[in-house]
Amino acid sequence: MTHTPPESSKILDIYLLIAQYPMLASDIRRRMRAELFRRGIITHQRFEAEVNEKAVLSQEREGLIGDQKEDAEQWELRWSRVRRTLTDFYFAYNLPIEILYHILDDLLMHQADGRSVQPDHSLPFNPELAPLEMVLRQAEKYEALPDEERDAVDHHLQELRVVLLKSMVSDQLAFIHIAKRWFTTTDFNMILERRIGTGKIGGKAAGLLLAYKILQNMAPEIFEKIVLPRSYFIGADVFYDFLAANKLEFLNQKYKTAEQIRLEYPKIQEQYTCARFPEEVAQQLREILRDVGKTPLIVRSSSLLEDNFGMSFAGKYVSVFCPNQGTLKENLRDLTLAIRRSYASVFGPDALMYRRRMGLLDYDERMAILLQEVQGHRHRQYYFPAVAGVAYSYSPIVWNTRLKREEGFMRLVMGLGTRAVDRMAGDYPRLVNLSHPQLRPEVMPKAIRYYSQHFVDALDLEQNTLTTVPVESILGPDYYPLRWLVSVDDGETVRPPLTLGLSIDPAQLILTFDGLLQRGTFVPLLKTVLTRLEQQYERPVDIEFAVSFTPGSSKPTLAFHLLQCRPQNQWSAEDRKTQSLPTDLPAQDKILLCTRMVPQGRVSQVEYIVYVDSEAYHQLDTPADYTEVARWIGHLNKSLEGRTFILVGPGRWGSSDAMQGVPVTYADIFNTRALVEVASNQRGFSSEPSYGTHFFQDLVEAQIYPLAVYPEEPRDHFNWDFIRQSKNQMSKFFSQQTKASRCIKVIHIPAERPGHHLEIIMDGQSGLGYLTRSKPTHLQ
Amino acid sequence: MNKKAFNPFEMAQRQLDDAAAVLQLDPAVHELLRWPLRELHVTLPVKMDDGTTRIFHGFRVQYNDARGPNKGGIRFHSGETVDLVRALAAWMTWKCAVVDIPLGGGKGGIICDPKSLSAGELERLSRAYIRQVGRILGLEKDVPAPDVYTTPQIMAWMMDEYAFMQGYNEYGMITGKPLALGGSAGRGDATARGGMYCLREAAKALNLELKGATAAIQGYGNAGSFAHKLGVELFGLKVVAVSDSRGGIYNPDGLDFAKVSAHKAKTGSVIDFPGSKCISNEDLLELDVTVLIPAALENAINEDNADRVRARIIVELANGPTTPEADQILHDKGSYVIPDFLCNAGGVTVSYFEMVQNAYDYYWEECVVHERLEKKMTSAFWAVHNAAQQHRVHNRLGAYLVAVNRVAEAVRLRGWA
Repeated sequence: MTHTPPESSKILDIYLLIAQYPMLASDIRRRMRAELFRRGIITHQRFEAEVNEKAVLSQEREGLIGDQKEDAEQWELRWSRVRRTLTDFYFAYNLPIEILYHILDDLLMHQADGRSVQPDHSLPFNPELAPLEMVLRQAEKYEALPDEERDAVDHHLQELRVVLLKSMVSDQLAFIHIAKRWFTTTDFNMILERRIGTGKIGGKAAGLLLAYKILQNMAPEIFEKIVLPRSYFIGADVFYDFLAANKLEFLNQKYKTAEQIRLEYPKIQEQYTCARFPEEVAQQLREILRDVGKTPLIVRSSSLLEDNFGMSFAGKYVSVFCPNQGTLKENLRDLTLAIRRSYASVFGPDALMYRRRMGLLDYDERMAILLQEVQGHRHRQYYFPAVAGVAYSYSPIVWNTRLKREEGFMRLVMGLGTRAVDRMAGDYPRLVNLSHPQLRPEVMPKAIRYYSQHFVDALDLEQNTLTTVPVESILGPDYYPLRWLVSVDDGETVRPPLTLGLSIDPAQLILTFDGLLQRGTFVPLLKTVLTRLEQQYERPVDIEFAVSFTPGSSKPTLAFHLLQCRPQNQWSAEDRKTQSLPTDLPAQDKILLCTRMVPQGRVSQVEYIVYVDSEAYHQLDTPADYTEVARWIGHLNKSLEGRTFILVGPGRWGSSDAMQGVPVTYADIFNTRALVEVASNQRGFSSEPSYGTHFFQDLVEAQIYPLAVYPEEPRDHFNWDFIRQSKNQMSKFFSQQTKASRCIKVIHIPAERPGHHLEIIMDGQSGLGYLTRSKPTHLQ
Repeated sequence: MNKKAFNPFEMAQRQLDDAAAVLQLDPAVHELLRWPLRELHVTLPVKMDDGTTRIFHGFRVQYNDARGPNKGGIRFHSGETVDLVRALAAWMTWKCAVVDIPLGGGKGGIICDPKSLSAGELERLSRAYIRQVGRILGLEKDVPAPDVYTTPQIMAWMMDEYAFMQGYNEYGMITGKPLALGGSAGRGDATARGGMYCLREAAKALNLELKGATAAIQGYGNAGSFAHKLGVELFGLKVVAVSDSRGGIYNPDGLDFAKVSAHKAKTGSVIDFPGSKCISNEDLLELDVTVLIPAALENAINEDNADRVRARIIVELANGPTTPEADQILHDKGSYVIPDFLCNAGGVTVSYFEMVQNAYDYYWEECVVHERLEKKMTSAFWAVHNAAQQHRVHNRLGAYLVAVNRVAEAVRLRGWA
């Protein structure tokens, strides 16, 4: 790898800039020399002597030796040209270009004073071809104009910003469309100051900066509470430098078969772990580590495609925490290892398969890195934010009709946000619909405790590692945000803590976040953030955030740390393509259509429908029979493990009152992908759906979609004919049957319609299940 | 083909009919006992958080107060029906009678989805209910308690509203209150403890040694986990299997209560408890154990698996864990069932103690509550056992015989029929 010294491009920039002023060029250079002499960079005499030396040398270079001396005029021309070049050279090597701008402005001002001419604000070069520095300076110049003159150059300024965005931030047009309104030269300068290497800073960093800029401009009333974590960027070009420096193989993995990609990925990870960083990058990382001291860091993937409009890449690339508690050398080793792991993930099967599905394989994907200080505080030996979460401006789920999707939704946790982002079996974030922040899917104290967060992700500063600890080992009266985070469960009631005396028993505390949600400014602040971002993004967004508190206040006084922002997945252009409900289906292919409280998501390749017939179910004689139906469902849940199936039944799945629905427990249904409730009034059996509320949080965490279909309502549809005419495959699973099992019909879709499967698309408004032809396996 | 939907109240009436037939009950008394004495249907306007007003509907059924003030929970449920509340009120009448506490039976409910109500809305709804129903409530009239989706906190709000209506405190108008507000000590494990006293007496009746006897517990909520704790503490039972909704665990050498409950608290389930074998809820019921404690699911023991249940004693801490068909099968094969409305009557008995303590405004130590509960449950057990033996019927019917007879006697003495 060869590197051109940065000064070379600076000389070129100076040359090109001065070339714009042919009549002032001599004056400009005179002033430049004066500046060099004044600052003692070189003396006047030494400079003139060097001009002479270089001019003579150039004569020799051009073959003028001995008697072939040129005449005085030619010598003068030669001498002045050499002097001009040497002026640029010394200036570029020793002084910042800003001084040249000052010289220029000064000269122009004097010109204008002397001649009373209007300033010329024309764009004197093509920004697309000009050096970055030059574009940036021109943009600065325009931004510095008084408002009345600014209007005349606004179109140029936009162009300059677009060029800067494209070369430094992201080349995604949808992003640029919005970002060009908000980014200024201050932001570009900040990026340059904090960027290692060249290239764009990638999608995640781009989204974060854009969101911050939007809030800065559009939410002044809350902006003082918004914190942007101290961030550094590793430009996307460093990724290629890294590959080239280490002569790494496996460059074109993306065009290999899925199997090869999977097989070779461990080798790639191993190679990357051993690879070295270019020294100049390592040096800059070392400087960052010196700057941040012992503050923990997170290496976040920020690829060029990541977090863009239409492709979230959520969870496809690796982000790594660096607790940063070792020696400088150890910390650098951990940091570069984290970056290498993130780089390797570009070739991971998940990412490449996702790109293949989304038609993005041919894009020149590169990995930039967003390096941030982890937001949090030390408590005992742990470092973590008091609260972290993900929030959606349009709620993907609701669990009762009062909740308004358009007011947003969040998943809140204590500690690092990994537990809010990821789904963990047996541990639950607090789900909050922002229209009714006090409502939760649970009522009874026991359920509230059960469906709460039991473990906290944190950095163990003593062990220098990421760890997961039980909440009770962190909660205690010495933790000052406690009041805003917990409720006290005394075995009878779950109530706000009245006192936080030393006698408080951590085992009695439950993380409900009630204090934060009910008192103070948090919910209105979050709603403002989401609303303003959605307005400017022109589509729903989702964000990641952390919250910190100021000690000693009677209300939660907080700071809101913005960590990520991206268009909400299901609403992005690309996903709409795959997510939109087909409208031209033949009636016989449409299996179900629901329109109430529909979540957002998709269930693909459904092979089986397990259907509980309402009429047969209600014909059962004894309560025991109903329970038995639930047990049969449990058996099927086991038998169909590994297959994609949905459950369809009358009324409320999981009701303790069997008349209202099959009294299954979560253990009977956890392998299903959707839980469909048929709300029918047939034959006097009224069944009001529960929308999965009996185990709502379990469904959310396992991504099982609750759906309710009202066949008798005009907007909904249920294909009774398909269900009735399909063959019951129950006997293939169980040879012996009972009265109860005969209520259940197992429909194997490919057996009814060869080569087809059921697809369910839910866009938050409607959910449609329809039969569609299955792709051959190798194309899936 | 068009079969009528299952009606819980009709089922309750049929159960009474069976007992009445064995008792050869006076037809007028029988007919009186088939119906609630009183019902109050109420309409409740409630101010919602957003400033709108919503109208809710609720009821209170006072089934029979011949033996004393009505007693029974208040349910908040969207699928609430008056027939279900009637049935539950009838069962409360028999439950109070079988443990011989001087109370009748009642039940109440509001048709609502508590999951869609904020704490403030729930409080206003609870208070609105008392403003309407309060006129038929009181320590001497009818004493509600927590039930489906109602909590000690809701009881506290209701008590407070009632106190404002009366102009003085009357703690005993409702039970299940928080301890700090007139609740009784010993309520936490009352259901399981009552069941354990019955188990001890059953073992005596069957000449069985409980120390070291094996036990399996289906369900590890309040009742199930306390049964584990108390079974070990009181009698030295060897609990070899327990389960919850996610599955069960088995260890023939016994499961340590403290360790299992800590594991459940940590992981949310008993499954994957170190050193145990994984079993299903169904397998648990069929283990070769001396004592089986169904403490979770309705109809867990039914005609399909009753044959394979090998336990000598079945302690019904859950409501309705055994179907009528299974009852007969178990009875015929010699399994001894302690029927639910006797076995889990420890809860209502301690509620009664709460009323008594409120009335005297003097509160007992927990050991006093245990001691008095023990007496009540022991004598209730023997009354049922003896009735079943005498009439050669299974224990459930035996319990009905005792209860119905007691209520009928009060009805007759009062001259109602």
